[in-house]
Amino acid sequence: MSATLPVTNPAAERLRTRAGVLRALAARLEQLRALELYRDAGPDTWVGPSPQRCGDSLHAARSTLLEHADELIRTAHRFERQADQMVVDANPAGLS
Amino acid sequence: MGFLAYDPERLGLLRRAITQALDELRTLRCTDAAAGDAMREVRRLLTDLEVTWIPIVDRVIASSAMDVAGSDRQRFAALDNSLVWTMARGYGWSVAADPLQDDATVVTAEEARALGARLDRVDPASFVEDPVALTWLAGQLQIIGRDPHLTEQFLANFHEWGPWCDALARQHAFVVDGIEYRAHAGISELDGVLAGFAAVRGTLPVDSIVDQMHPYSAALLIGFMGLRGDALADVADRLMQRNWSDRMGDTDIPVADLDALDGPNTADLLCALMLLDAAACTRYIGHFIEHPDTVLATIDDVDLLHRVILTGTDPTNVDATTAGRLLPTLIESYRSTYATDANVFLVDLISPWMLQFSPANHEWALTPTARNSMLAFVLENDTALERLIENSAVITDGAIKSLTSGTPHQLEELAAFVAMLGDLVVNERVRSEQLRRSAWDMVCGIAGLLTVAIPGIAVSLGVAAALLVVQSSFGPDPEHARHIADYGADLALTTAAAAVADRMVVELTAEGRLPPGYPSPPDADPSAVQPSDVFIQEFMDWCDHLPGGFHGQVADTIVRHVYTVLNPAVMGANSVD
Repeated sequence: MSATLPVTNPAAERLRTRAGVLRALAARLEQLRALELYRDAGPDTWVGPSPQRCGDSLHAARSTLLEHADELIRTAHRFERQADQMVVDANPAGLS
Repeated sequence: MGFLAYDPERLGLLRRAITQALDELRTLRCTDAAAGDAMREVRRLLTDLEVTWIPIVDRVIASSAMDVAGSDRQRFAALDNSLVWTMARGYGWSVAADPLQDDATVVTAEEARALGARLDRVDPASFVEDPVALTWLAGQLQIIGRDPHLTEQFLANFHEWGPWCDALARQHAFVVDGIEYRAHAGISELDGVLAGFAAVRGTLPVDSIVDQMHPYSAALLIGFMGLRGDALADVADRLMQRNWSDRMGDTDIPVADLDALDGPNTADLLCALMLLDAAACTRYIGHFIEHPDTVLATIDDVDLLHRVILTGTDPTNVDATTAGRLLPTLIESYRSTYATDANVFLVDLISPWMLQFSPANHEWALTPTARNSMLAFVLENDTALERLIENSAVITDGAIKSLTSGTPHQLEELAAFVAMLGDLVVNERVRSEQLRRSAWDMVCGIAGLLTVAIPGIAVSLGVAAALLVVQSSFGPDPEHARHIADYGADLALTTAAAAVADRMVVELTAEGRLPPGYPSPPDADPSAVQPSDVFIQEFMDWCDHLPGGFHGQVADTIVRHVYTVLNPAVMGANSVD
């Protein structure tokens, strides 16, 4: 695990930094107010062709943004595993 | 240009929520390449909100609420604005012009609910003449019907099946009748909406729907429900009974006059529908024999009913047991309630099942009296008799189907069947020489076809050959017209019996039970008034001289085979009263 392995590889450190950035962005995306707009724009507020299009559009945007958030988390996890592997490769005997 | 309806207070809240969301989106930054797709989506949403939705919301808020009672009222009241109409009229929402038109290919839960509510409140008569409205409605109902959730939403608010279907059916009847009317809607538009209503039935029981409308309307509606078999027959019978009850004045249904217009009436429509499904026809006959008047007293095109009955009793659709349950009762129903002009139909009815009416067949447990009485009723006039002769192919096919169905049949039964047919159709009532020839051909043809088409029946080779002899050797001769009425049948069986005897001699000789060159048995004498009498006498004399005499084993073997074909007791039972 990254917590027990010594950090001796700059490339690995950069990957971990990027992973942190991506996780932070994913967290912000998941908390966006825009994701909840579809509720306010629903048929309790207005109905008709444009309201329908608006609701559909906001709902689709929400789904897409959440998918991107998930993808960002997966990418961050991959970066972290790559960083771990770099450290292991640099210290085959596990020495610090 | 369409319409939209809105709650002013909630739309204001939406405006504020969008503004706050925009502020948040604008602060979002990330330059990592791996976040490129996500950030592009953020910018797309930001642009969408800024350029498209904030301006529309602002324009709606800034506009004066539209007066729906004003000049746009008619356009606004169209069915395709049902959702906006319902929110404005039912919930007091404001209405504004919408730059977009509704996408008719998409139906939301709210639209389905609103459409149900709208249809429940409007006068259907004001829409059934409008082909545009009908086409739109048909499309919406089909979309709703394909989605259980939308169907549930629609049915939560829609209950007026009767008024809508009756209005559509009335218009349908007017168009079919050709009545000059204001309407421009055609059958296709009307049927489209009826099909739509059938599609949105959901899980509602059919009876609960059709009971709300005139039987004529229901007959049109169920045509689109895809009902089959028992379900179709049962609802058809239910509607037949109600239709008859209406005719008898038991109820006062305003659209009852529709049955009086030109075009198919209720019973016609239902029969035509059942004709598409043989199982429904068979099931329906069971209902029909319980109360035949419900159809016979109401149907315009009785041929449709007859086709239902013939389909429902066709050997390709029912087994002999089922036919035996239905046919005798059907014939009795016609005898007791509707004996006129049905003879040809009744002949068609019994033709595939003639074997079951023959004296030696016991599949239907008919008494000889009942059997003869039914045949006498069905064949009471010359037209019926001629029809029976015309139906020779049907009779043959039906007999073959029964004889090869796996149920054991004896040679005696086959002989009795052929003899009965001969007795029925080759008699003094068939005065036309041409018809007599046809009758003769029919009997001979059936005898011949049966022998070659029934490999499983207990027919010895000798008898088979004998029956073929009947077919090939003796045709009608004008000189024979003086012979007694059953001459043809008598000669047919006598010839068969003689051939059996002849064949038995060949077989017994081969087995060594008769010496080679033993004298042949007697032949049938076509010149005799009653060939069977002459043959039997000569045959018995011949048997006396067999090894062991008349009571010996050889004679016993031959006599048993011959008597299965030419049995005086059976011949005596073949006549129709």
